[in-house]
Amino acid sequence: MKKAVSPTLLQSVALTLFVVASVAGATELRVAGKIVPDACLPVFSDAGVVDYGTVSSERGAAKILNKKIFSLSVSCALPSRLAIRLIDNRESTPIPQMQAVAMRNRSKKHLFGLGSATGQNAGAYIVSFEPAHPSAAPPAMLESATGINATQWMLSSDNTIRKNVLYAWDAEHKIHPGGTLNFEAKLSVQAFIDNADNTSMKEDAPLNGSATFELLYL
Amino acid sequence: MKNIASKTSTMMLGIFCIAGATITTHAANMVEMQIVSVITPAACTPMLSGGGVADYGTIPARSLKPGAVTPLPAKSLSFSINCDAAAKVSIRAIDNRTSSVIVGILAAGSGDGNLNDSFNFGLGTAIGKSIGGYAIVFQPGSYTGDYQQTQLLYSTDSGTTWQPSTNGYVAKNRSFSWGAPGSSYVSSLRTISGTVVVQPYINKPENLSLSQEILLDGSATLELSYL
Repeated sequence: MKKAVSPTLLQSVALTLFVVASVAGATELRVAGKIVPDACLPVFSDAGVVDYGTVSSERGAAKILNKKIFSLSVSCALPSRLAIRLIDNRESTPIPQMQAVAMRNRSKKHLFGLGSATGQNAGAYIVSFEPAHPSAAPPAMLESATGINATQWMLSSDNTIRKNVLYAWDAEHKIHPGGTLNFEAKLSVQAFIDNADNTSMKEDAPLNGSATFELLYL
Repeated sequence: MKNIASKTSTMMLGIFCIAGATITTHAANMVEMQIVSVITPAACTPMLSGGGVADYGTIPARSLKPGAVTPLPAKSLSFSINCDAAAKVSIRAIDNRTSSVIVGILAAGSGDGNLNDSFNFGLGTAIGKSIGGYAIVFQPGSYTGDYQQTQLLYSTDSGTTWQPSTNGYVAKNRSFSWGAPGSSYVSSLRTISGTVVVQPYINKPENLSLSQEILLDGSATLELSYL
């Protein structure tokens, strides 16, 4: 049986066919890439490890270990205004009550934990900025007067790093953190281990302090 | 059988095929019909080098100047159309990121007031903020058709009339094609090749959230049509 096809149907089919046949191929053009927050790369000497080797704790007094010097260098792709902050990764473990002599009048804000398997820090350490590179004039150290909200800056009078304080360099000796491409800072770690009587350590225990240097873009 | 029939015969056969199919489906009736061959237009494939990606890699946020639109370096891609038989074709660009178009960014970034928003392709959005725009340019002098120098043409009436394109800037309402040098008529060609240039402009940094990574996400479809 044959059926007549109406001219209207013919026309509409023809129109559809034309449109389908006329678009034949396509390719996609993409524009890709990423805008990244200004990248600066911090690098520590000795891969960021301060190794005291084997030390023995003493009875009756906290033991002061040698000062260890290391350097932090920061290089940026473009001049960047930076600050650093030091975060104690052993803060959850309490720092033992150490003798004032060992603490050298440092407050808890200065003391970073040395960690312990027993749940109490085996000791503590302070981190200080040392006089900078002998070859260059020391840049002015600035600290943020408003804690981690860096809106006001002042010259730093204390070279020992405190927690929750931002530090910045100003090569131009002005009271605002300047843009920098590269900087290098010498730092020292001074560790104390607690009086052996106060610790529950009866066997060898690793000193396991950990702090993160956080680089902030201002 | 590869058969390059004229447009009329292609259409006629198509009509009968589809009409037949329609009746079969809807009326469940048998229609006597012989299909002699399947005729398709000459198959043409448009291609871009580098997978079609103009990749700007990593752009430091500090390279964006406050208060200004920042041009990125222009990037060139090779563009080609290969057909298995000579055909008259046209290309138009469809912006897949129209919602991210920043009004006037091309004119502001290039300093050329003629580059209005019909030339402005969107670079996508990041955290709700439009990233920028880019121009697409068919570099007029770079195109060859069947290995001969060709004239880049454009049409603003969907391919009815053509005129030479001197600067090759791709507007969203324009089709592009190729003809003999000095001519305003589209040639039937088998191979067309040349250069497509992409010129992006990044929004003012204060209008972007630069504390996080921003991915440039421009996407345009270059659609090929047979004329």
